[in-house]
Amino acid sequence: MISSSSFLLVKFVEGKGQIVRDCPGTKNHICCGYKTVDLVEGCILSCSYCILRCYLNHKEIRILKDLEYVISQIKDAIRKESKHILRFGTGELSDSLALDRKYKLNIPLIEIFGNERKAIFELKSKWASIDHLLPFLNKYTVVSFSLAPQRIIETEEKRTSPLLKRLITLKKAIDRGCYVGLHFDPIIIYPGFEKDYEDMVDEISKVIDLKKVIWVSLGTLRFPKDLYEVFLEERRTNLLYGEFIRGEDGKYRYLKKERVRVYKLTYGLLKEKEKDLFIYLCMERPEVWEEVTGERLQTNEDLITKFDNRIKSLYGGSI
Amino acid sequence: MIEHADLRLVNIDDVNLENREYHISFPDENSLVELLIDKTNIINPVTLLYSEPYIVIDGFRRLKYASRSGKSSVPAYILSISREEALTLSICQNLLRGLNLVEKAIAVAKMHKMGIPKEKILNMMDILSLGKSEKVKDLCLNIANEKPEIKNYFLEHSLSLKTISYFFKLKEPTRNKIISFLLGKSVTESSLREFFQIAVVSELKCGDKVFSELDFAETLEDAKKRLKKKAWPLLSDLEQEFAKVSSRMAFPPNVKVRMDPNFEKEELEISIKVKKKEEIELILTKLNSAIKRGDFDKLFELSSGKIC
Repeated sequence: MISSSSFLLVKFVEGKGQIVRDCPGTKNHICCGYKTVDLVEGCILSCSYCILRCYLNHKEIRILKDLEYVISQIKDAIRKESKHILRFGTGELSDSLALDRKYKLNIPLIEIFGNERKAIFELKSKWASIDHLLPFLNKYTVVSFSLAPQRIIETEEKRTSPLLKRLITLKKAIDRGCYVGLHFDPIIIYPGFEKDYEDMVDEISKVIDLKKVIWVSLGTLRFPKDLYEVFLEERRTNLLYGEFIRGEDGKYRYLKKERVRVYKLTYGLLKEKEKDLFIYLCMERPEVWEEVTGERLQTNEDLITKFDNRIKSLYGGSI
Repeated sequence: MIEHADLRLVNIDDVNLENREYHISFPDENSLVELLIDKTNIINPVTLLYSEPYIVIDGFRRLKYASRSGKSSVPAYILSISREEALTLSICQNLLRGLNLVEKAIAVAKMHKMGIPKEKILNMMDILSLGKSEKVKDLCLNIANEKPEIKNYFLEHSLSLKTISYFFKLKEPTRNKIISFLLGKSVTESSLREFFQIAVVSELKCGDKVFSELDFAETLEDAKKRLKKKAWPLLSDLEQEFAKVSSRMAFPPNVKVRMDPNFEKEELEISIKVKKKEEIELILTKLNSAIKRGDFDKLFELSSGKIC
């Protein structure tokens, strides 16, 4: 088990095997068909609930030294895809920006996507530092932040940037002509979370233009059994406040009724601010989708098509 | 390094029986030791550390009983070795007769208290079949520091380290309250583990006041239900509703209606076992009545996630 402050050493490693992969998804849950780019493994931000604490079996942060190897896999995936507009992201096994100012890993990737104009590259982060990227940004890169009420940032995401700083950084990306993404994931149920989310949505709408938000994901807290044991050990009252069940994938997640309540609340708050926002549920069951959004999605394909339509509506013929 | 030690008769008065630095046996009394001494009048040689007075390395219980039963001397090996060697020897000699979990924990705690380097302690833990884990080491320190009645409870119920680890996630007043509740109750290791897990989450979510529920609980199952009701009210309500509808449907024992206990999957599993055609007819009638009454609608609603 990796403690919340264990990632210290950065190690450059050779690229082996598949670096660009399909998001693993979960049986009976609708997946958005995201492509993960495992350019970096490990994260310095050490959020208390992060699945990487159990998922990785090494303590150092591993960075692939051969970027060409990664780029060839990205290009290969784009070339092979004829039906959908692919979305790639480096924020699955790491934070996309936390180490980037030092190692400048994203610049070549941003440029590749800008040249290709066939797919979207998402930088998903909680680390509000993009000044070094501003001269290189183009509209095929989406800058996204995971957002949580400041109370949660202070207790569970201690090393990350404050909420306001994240929002100001998103505004910078918008000002550079990029679309941005918002990820309400994980949404944590704790006493008073409803009011905190209401305030957070207010704050978001005051700082950024919601019409420039390409997508918003909603995902409630979920984690494997080993992490549950860690939460108990660390007496994480915020994380353990809700009512959990073990899902079909063995992961702990909130009781379905509670998830629906949380999604309805956040979905409603967001739609109230901007009715055209594209909001999707991350790894949810079809019946939850229907209950929250009124949409009947049955397969991953349904959601991927929704993404295609969303991108086409914003980019027109330029993608 | 111990090369050899002379065996000699030592006057019990020359031994410091109050010094328990190397004493790892638990419980203190052992009727078998006493019986053997009584029946055979033979005392196996004890091991003492050279000092004035001598300090017991191994044979504490033999010496105590010999003293109580009026003997003035015992055979003993006198060793002039370091404190660390004395403790290691005590652990190794006791290991030969088989150590219980509490004794292993005490051994680890004594090494820790003596300031023995971590790596050496972890190696000894490996020999004691505890594994080389810092977490287990901390757990051993907790066990060793517990009150004798709680240590006894662990031993009497042969609790595993995993189960005990949940117990120690609770605060001390809660632990005491729980042990008082458990004393005299019929339990199994698995039911206790589940109970401790529920208790840990209940304490985190509801505070220690929730354990006043134990004052009204008669059995462990009852206690679990009461705590769950407080810490998982929504899930408990769903379970209660399922039980209510199931009881209203009143199917015979050869018809089972099951649903996902997590209310996640939107499906019901209905199994029927029959020996005669007439039984099928009867069951179909009952199923039809349940459908007409809306019982199945209610069950599907429970797993739909709908907020009423």
